[in-house]
Amino acid sequence: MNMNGAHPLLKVKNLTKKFGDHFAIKEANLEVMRGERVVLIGPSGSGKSTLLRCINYLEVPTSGTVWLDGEYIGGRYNDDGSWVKDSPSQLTKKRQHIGMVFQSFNLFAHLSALDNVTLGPRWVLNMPKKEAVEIAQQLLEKVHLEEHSHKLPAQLSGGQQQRVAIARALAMNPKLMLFDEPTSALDPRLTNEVLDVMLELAEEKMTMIVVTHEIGFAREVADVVFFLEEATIVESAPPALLFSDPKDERTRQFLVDCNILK
Amino acid sequence: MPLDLDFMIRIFPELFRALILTVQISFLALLFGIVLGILLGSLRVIGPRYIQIPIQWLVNYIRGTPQLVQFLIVYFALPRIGIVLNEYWTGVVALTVIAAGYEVEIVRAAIESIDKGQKEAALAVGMSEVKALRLVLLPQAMRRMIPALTNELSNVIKASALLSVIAVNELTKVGNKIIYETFYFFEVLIEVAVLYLIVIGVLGWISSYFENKVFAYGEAITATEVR
Repeated sequence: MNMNGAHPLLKVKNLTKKFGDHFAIKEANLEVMRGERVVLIGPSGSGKSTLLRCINYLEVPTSGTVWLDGEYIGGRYNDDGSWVKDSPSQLTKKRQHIGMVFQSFNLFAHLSALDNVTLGPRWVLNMPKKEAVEIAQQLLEKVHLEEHSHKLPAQLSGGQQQRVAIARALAMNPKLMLFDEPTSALDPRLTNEVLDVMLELAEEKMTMIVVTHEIGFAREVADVVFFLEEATIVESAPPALLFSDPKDERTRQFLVDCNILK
Repeated sequence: MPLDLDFMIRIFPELFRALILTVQISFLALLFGIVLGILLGSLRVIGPRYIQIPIQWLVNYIRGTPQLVQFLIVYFALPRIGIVLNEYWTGVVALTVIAAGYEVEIVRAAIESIDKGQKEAALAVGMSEVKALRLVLLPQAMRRMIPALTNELSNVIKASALLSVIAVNELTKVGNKIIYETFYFFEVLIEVAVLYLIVIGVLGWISSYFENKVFAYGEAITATEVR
């Protein structure tokens, strides 16, 4: 929890996403305070990624709401209580406040590392080129890639690509950062490169939600860990508690299967 | 039968003038066709349904009817709706319609072949669909389009031979005229064929230059190929 009084930044209420008859995530409720670091864990297919992708409406939820810092994503309530959907341009505007990092990096393949980072500020925030380049260079320095700024994604290692992707998301100065299994495609050494950068971000009190299988990272960084299984949030607790004494039998079983609990 | 080389040299200036006209008309049609193709192809991907459907009709019409019929329709239809063009511009319009019709599908397929993570990343940065298309998808799709476009462009040059039916003095028509005047059909046809080959060869060369030099950047490394 935040030390200077709890200010919720994100409220996810009764969020459900169905693909056909299949529930990808069911009635999820989640509240994230400003500066809080949240980690979502759980077996593959438990709905972690879908929940994350619903938060910035890359997937449109079937029902439920996402509220970020004073406004609903994807729509708003009228005075008479009826729900009005956002126009595409309204949604686009709200998405700017949420940074996202993908498992497969998704760097813009035709642009250098620097241009990947400046593209958003220049074309979405209409920042002058000089200013955007300055910010991008600072951010690339922050992710320890200042010497690679001219390289194309194909010339970078996976770990380097992912750090550029983090810089690209940070360039929009987001209120919230979403990480969707950011290290699942990387070998252990490259994983550490990326986790180090995320650790630094966490220390700066960036509000973040991380879907990961890196239990070590969760233990070290998370304020709260959520465990999901079969499209449901099973329980949430600070990592010290969740990893040593989970309340729910399903969580316990998962942790035993992962060799975290005996 | 030995070829009469003297005759072939003598008719060259006349054929060359016709070739220039053929190249001009084809080039203009290609230019307009690419612009229209990219515009309509993009709309085909992100446009609303009421725009997508007529574009699909156009594509079906171009694919489903003979080019000769399409030329004649343009030739006779344009004056009926009050647009009176000379043969030259009628030829350009007719060829443009053909070029655009095929290019729409090439552009659409190229855009849709780009990994969907690219679009998601663009949206996540806060871009609109249009900006994502313009700044992220089209620049990458462009390179993938080039081989298919070259193929299509050489088809357009060859289709220009059919413009002879609407009285455009292009290469095939002039060649035919010389044949009827002189009955040197073998010499004329060989010379005409070689001229077409040269033009299309040059086009292929320009295309591979664009593919390899101008749009030469690595394809995105996917998550499974991490070094």
